[in-house]
Amino acid sequence: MKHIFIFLISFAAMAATAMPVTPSHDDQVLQILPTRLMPSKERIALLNANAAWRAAPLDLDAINTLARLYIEQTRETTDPRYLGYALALLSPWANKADVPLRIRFVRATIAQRNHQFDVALNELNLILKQDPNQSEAWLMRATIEQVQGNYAAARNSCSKLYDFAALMVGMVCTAQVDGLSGKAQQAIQRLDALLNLRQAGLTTDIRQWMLLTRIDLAQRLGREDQVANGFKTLLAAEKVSPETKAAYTDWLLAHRRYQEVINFAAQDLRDDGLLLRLAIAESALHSPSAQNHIDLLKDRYAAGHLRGDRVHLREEARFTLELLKQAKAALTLAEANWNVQREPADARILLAAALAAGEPEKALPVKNWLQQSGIQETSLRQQALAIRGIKS
Amino acid sequence: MKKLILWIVLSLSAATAWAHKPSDSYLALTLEKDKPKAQLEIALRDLDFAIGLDRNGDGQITWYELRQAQSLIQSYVFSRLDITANGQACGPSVQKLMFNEHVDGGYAVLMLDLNCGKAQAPYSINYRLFFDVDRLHRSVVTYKNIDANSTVVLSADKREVSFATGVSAWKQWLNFVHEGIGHIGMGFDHILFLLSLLLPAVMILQDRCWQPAVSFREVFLDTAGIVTAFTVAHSLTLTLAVYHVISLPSRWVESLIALSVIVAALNNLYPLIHRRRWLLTFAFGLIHGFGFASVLAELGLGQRSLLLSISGFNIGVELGQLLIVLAFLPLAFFFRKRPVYLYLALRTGSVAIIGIAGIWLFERVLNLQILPALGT
Repeated sequence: MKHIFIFLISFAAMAATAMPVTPSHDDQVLQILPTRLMPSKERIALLNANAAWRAAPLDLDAINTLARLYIEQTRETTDPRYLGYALALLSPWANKADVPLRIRFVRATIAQRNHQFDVALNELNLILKQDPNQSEAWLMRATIEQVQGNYAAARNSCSKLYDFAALMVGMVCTAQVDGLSGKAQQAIQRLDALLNLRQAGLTTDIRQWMLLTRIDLAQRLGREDQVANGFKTLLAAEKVSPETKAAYTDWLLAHRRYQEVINFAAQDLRDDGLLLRLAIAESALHSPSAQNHIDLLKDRYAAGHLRGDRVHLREEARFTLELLKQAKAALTLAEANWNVQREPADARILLAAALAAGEPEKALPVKNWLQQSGIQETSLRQQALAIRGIKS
Repeated sequence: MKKLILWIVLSLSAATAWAHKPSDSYLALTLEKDKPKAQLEIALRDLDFAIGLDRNGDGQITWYELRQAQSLIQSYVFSRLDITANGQACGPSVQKLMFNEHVDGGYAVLMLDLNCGKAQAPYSINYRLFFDVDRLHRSVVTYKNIDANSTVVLSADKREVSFATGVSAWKQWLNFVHEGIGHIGMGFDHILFLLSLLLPAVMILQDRCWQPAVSFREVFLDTAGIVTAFTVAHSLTLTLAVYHVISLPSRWVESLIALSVIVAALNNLYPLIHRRRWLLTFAFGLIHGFGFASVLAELGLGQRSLLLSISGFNIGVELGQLLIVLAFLPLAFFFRKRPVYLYLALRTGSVAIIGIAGIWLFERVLNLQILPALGT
């Protein structure tokens, strides 16, 4: 009863914070549309793909092209609305049992993007049952299994890629899994060999993927100068992915280079991941704009909760622990997050929250994971010694 | 193929990449004095994507453009939103178009009047905006009916919701009665206070010695006096406190309540007043009333009527009280002549009560917890 009361109060408070107004001037700009901020090449591509789709809404090629463009937008801008647009394209198959493989694949991509890993895996398994030669499906399966900390399965899925022409992709895939299961050394060597070999033939995206993976591996082995160089290369590219930006700011934060985080992250506040790191840096420097950004983030997470989404638990746990300093609430979030995904960053926040909340035994799953994976994460292992139970 | 693969893999790291917000609208259905009103907040982005708002194609939506689009927005919304009252369709009309901001940008706010004729609750909503262009769109629907508050999220897979009739005034009142009984049942300090006063009700004070009372009539009158005094006193202060006429810090109140129990029990051991116990009861009853008020506040008073909540709660307390008296009095009257009553119940019992209340007083004054939470 008390909980309902508290919920109502907080909801009322949230709802009460913004009241409708009547704008005073006709010229007052109420909203800037995303197309305005989009490079014209992309905008035109979207327009054309949209037109093609409208002309043939059930044409699989048209759907695929447009869906991919939408998903690409989400990937680049972290704007999740495009996923909804993509999913809408698949509406004709919403409640059907007989679904074309390509449609299933788009569904899996969207689900995976929304951290609905079980849904995604389900779709992927249905695809692979019907056609075991779908290498993209194997790759996505590998990456999901990796995120879930299921390294044996991930390695198996990666190995399927060697059977097809995607040999190189398979090798990078395996390198990633190796990096998470105690074989970072070999993985880095293999990646270096690949990079040297295929320098010219690599597309930007693949190259970025390999470089980011390599940075990850170098971090795991503690080779800081290689990490720094890696980031320098990646950041010099024309387009820097949100993943790279997040990894870079995390690395800066770990080295307490707060001002650099602020300089770098202040560019685009729409990216919540970047905003979080910015707020952490500002908070560390006691910057006056920290509180404003903390409030912004609080509103964003609250809006997500209101909607019923639980997509970004890791970030929210980190926010709750490091900025709101609410260890117990952070622990609940971190535990819920661990149920969904088990990457090193997820382990890190669970461990930190458990220790901060004075409940180290809650981080036992992290200790298990460290042991079973064999992952080379010295700082995590050191912290995990504080947990009683299994000896590491 | 490579490009295809890439955006798959890179999409995977959704773990770190997120921002903005998926599409939401906010629909509030409120009933004021049984007159239904709705307020629908829709993201300008979503509206533009669905029906186009940007007349001059400059990638910005101005207030002018929004106003110009009102009839277009209206027809879009009204063709995709059904609100019914008791099965009868409510005809919506836009009373006002306004603007609001949420975390992901600007929203058009439609203040709607609903013409449901004579029909009233239960209300239903069928919502179909945007799902055909954005399948992850959701609508956060809040329903406010005096004391009933609920929030439901509608989506492409759940487009309809019905709101049960609000809890009737009668049922609400009964709830408070229930709470009142429960509170005195769980409020050991109140119980012990009453018991301390009731213990000597079956006795007479003669030459500073306890003697069993003669007639049930005098016992009854004495008890009635106590109960009435307690009732009147706590009702008085409960009402005053709930209406914020008087406010006392709760630590004081709780401490004084503990003290009242001690005094009442002490009076059994060193009887200073006997037949005028109702005065003592009245005086301390005033304090207990403040104690009840804080419980009532915690329950969340309905907006409709504080009087409803107070009267219900109070009657609950009286009923609870009555139950205690009915349970205790016949037994006490039966055993009053036995020495065990004088020594065990009255004397030893009072000492025990003083002991417990003493610990409560210590706890409450110093804000500690020693005994398991029994007293309030």
